[in-house]
Amino acid sequence: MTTTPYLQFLELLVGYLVCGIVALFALLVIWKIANGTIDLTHLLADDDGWASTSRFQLIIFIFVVALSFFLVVVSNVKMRQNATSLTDLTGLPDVPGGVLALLGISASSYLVSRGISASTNGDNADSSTKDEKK
Amino acid sequence: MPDLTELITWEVGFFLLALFAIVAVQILTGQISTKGLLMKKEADRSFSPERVQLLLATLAAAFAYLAQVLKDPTHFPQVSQNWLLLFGGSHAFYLGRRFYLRRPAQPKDS
Repeated sequence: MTTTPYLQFLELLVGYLVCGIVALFALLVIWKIANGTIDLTHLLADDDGWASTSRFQLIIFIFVVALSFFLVVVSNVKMRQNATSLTDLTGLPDVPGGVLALLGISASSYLVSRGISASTNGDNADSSTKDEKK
Repeated sequence: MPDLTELITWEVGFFLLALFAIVAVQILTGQISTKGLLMKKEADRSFSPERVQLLLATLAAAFAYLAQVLKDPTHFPQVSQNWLLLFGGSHAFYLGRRFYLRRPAQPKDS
């Protein structure tokens, strides 16, 4: 299929426009986090206000996988720009099962940990209610 | 005018690094609370070795994986079985210990 120069220009224009809007949102979020409007004080804290190790490890893994994905995509884009044949460089890169397993372990550990905390708090609340009734 | 793909690359790279830097700085300066990160949530709130080993295993796995990606960023590197076992074992130990500690203490017979 051939595209006219007019359509190509429009495609490029929309691309730059979307890129600009996303950049504005990104800058806004970064600015609001930096000046404290978006408060991250309790990013690692559980319901009791104490920092949670499971939350911390999940954050570390999300950062690592996000950064890895970004680096792989950038590398693929560069290869694609230099390549003559595009047969095996189309679309997003495949994420291997091992990475999904690591993220799965990390996220489920966080969830189970939250479940244990919730049930402990529930038990404590039950026992305090019983004490009050006595 | 810069190429669109180059612009997107810079944009996403800046966002990710800025977010990472802000979170890291806020953790280091104490704005993000890390109070009790290595303490037990149960009972006496004492020092918790299972949390320390989980943190060390996480940092080791994260750095090892990131180093592999930086070495060859053309594709996602495979995670070896040993790393998965180490990581899974570390989490299992942490959760097992948490589950064990949350059990209510048995009343002593007088």
